[in-house]
Amino acid sequence: MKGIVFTELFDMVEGLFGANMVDDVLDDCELESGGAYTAVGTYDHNELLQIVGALSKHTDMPVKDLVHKYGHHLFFRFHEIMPVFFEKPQSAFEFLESVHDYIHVEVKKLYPDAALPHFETERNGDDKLIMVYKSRCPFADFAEGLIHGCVEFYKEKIDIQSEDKNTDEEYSRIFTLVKQ
Amino acid sequence: MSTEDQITRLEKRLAREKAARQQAEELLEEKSREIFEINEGLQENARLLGATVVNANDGVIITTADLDNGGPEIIYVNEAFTRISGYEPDEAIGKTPRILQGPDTDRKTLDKLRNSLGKGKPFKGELKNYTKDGESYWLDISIVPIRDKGGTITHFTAIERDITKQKKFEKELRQEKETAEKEVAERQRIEGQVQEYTDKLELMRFEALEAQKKAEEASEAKTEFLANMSHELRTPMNGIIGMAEMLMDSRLDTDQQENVETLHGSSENLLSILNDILDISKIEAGELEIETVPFHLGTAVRQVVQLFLPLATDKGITLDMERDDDVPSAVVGDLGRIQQVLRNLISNALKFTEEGNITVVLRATTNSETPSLYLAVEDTGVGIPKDKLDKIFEKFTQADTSVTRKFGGTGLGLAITQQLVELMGGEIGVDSLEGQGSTFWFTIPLTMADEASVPVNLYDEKQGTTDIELSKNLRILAVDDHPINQTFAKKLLKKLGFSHVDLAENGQQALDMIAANSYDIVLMDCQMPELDGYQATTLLREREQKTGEHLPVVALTANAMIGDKEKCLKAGMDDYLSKPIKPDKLIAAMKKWAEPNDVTEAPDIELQAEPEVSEAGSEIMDWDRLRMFTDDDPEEEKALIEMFITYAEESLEILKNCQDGEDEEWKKAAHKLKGSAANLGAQALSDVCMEAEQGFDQDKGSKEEILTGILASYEQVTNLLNKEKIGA
Repeated sequence: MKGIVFTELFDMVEGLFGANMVDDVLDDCELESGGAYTAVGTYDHNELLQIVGALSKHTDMPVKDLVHKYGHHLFFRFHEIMPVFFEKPQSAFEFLESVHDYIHVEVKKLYPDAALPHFETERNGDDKLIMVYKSRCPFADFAEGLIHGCVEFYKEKIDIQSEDKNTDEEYSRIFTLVKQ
Repeated sequence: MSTEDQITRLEKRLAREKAARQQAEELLEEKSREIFEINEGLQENARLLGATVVNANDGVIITTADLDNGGPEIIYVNEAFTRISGYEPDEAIGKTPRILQGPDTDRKTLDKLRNSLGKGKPFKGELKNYTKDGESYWLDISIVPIRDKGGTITHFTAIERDITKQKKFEKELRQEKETAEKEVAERQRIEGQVQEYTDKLELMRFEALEAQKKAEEASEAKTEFLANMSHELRTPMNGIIGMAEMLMDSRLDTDQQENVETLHGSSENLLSILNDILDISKIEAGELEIETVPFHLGTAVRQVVQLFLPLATDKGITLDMERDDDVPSAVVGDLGRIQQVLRNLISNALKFTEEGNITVVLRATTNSETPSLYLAVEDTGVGIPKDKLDKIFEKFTQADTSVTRKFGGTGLGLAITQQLVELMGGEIGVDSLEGQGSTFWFTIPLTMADEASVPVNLYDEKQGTTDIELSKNLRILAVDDHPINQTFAKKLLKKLGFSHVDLAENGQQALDMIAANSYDIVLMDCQMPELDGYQATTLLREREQKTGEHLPVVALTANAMIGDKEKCLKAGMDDYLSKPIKPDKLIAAMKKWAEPNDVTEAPDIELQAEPEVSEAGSEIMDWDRLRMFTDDDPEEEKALIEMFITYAEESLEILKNCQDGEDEEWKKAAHKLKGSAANLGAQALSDVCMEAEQGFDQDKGSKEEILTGILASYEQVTNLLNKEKIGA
């Protein structure tokens, strides 16, 4: 897991709950990295799961909601820190379609060791997009948050349905997006 | 929360941030190293690629991919490009590659190039470009489109190789190859031809050998066949001649008589040809044997010369003999064959000589290891062309085929002559200058004989056999206008044993004498003044018709032409003998025709004189020559001189009556006197007469001048001759 996911999460937690909340969460966790993260580093994704679990306990919010909210937040942050990816896509569908073929390709160039999830898209007419999430990490909720963030970013009215298709080897969720 | 706790929490945060910063720094360092290493690799690659492109021997041009708006734009050229094209980088960059094209740049290739690049395909081909100075050069071009990540063509890279030299070399090579191929083809053609010719030559050689073999076989067969045939033909020929003779003896009308006589003449002619052929066949078949008998050489040669003298005289040709002193008188050899050879040569010389002289030369080489006789017949005749000289002795060859038409002959005479000479162990040859005359000579090994061993001389020997049935008392009238011929006729007849011989000088005189006397036979010359032989005979026959008598008349003619013979027979003559008169032929004719009339002896009209041997005036008179013909018989000599004077006077009368311009009579008279003077031995007189003969068409004054010369010369001769006569 790229360090930016951790640093952005701590920034959001600090903004919402204050710096002490970050200390409290870290005090509850036993982290190999000792809680010291840099955006360009790479860390075990289990550390993120521990942190989110500890945060849920301290804030008394369900993990699912927290992760979803974080995804929504991060999409807008992406627009601020990596505007280059937003130059071409003019709509939510176009952006989502560029994730797998463009954004992840560029990320791989910079970070050849990055373990990225698999995003396949299939356009079904002008108004419908099917997106399949596949990963060895259980971050489908995180992805769903990002999708919602995207739709909101482009200020479109799109209904998003999801259906889990997990197997023993990987986590998978099918998103069906239909324009309203 | 206590201040202490607060401090502890801040310290923890600081420691986390430090750790994060340290991580980030480590990562940064690691990434920097990676980037540096990668950059180093890239730079090395770039350096290698750059060096490759910059230093390449081939020109490298990188252009933009804009094919439409003004063509692609050059953005890079290497050093080789400048070297080839003459354009510096700053002169080329920013321009279109079209600046390199010129009038001879192939448009089709350019279209292909654009077409390929337009479709994003590489192009490869040869193209003519132009340097900055306008000189053309050939390029081998390879253009490759360069694409970006998205596959869009962004540039073209062209690699150009200068192949001008190669092109030139290729062209030269092609030309050389073509030349070489042509040469090879030409050589093969020539070799083929040579082979062909060699094959042909070999074939021809083989064929020639075969042909030669066949020809040799055929020649042998032919010789044998000819020998047999000639022999076999002679038997029936004798039958034909015999029967023709019998027919002629029977009673026939004039036409029949003429026909039979023609038949007889032709048969005899044919027989003589057959004899020639038989001779040559015998010689070739090796069947001819050479005899060795002792004989008098001088006599033998003189006899042959005498034989031809009348004929030579008729033609106005001097015929004489030159004999070296050291020639032995008695020799051993084949007398008959030597005489045959001489006869052939003299006869030939007479055929081809119209004027001048014929000399028979007799010499001997006694001081060498192989003593030999040399005999030659020199004439002043037409001569033989150089290219015919070596063929003259071949069979069936004559120098000029028109000769056959003019003189007849089988073309065998000289071939036989040569073979005879070779059989006798001698050699024959000819020296000739066309238009100047010829010398036919031959040599034979000389074997001397004891004078005493020589049995008899020629005619005496023959006389015994030829006149068995002929009466010596035959009365003969010899008619000839020429004194010398008269003399020879008389002399020959006398030698043959006939003493009753009268002479007439022309037809009229003959007719008168026939009327006054009785003769058994007339020997009649054909060409005579006043009344010629033909006319005389015709008149005689007319006269005889009243009496029913028939006096045999035998014609003597100089030209052995068939037409002459017919003319003779038509005139009523019984027979015909051509000059030179051969004793055996004369005897044969006389035997055939003459029956002695029972008449008293004929009047003796012979002149009696005994000339004395005198060498005076030998430059005017060649006494030796005179005596050669008279055999030193004073009577003969006297008669000869008398006759010469008689007829010379006659000729002189005509010559004295000279006129301006062409005068045939004058010419004839001069000719006649020339011939008789020469044969008598009066050479100086003969020479002036020749001058007269040649000057027959001059004016009177010139003729008179020549005449003065003739008269002076004649006077000298007659003075000498008269002295001789008186002396005798």
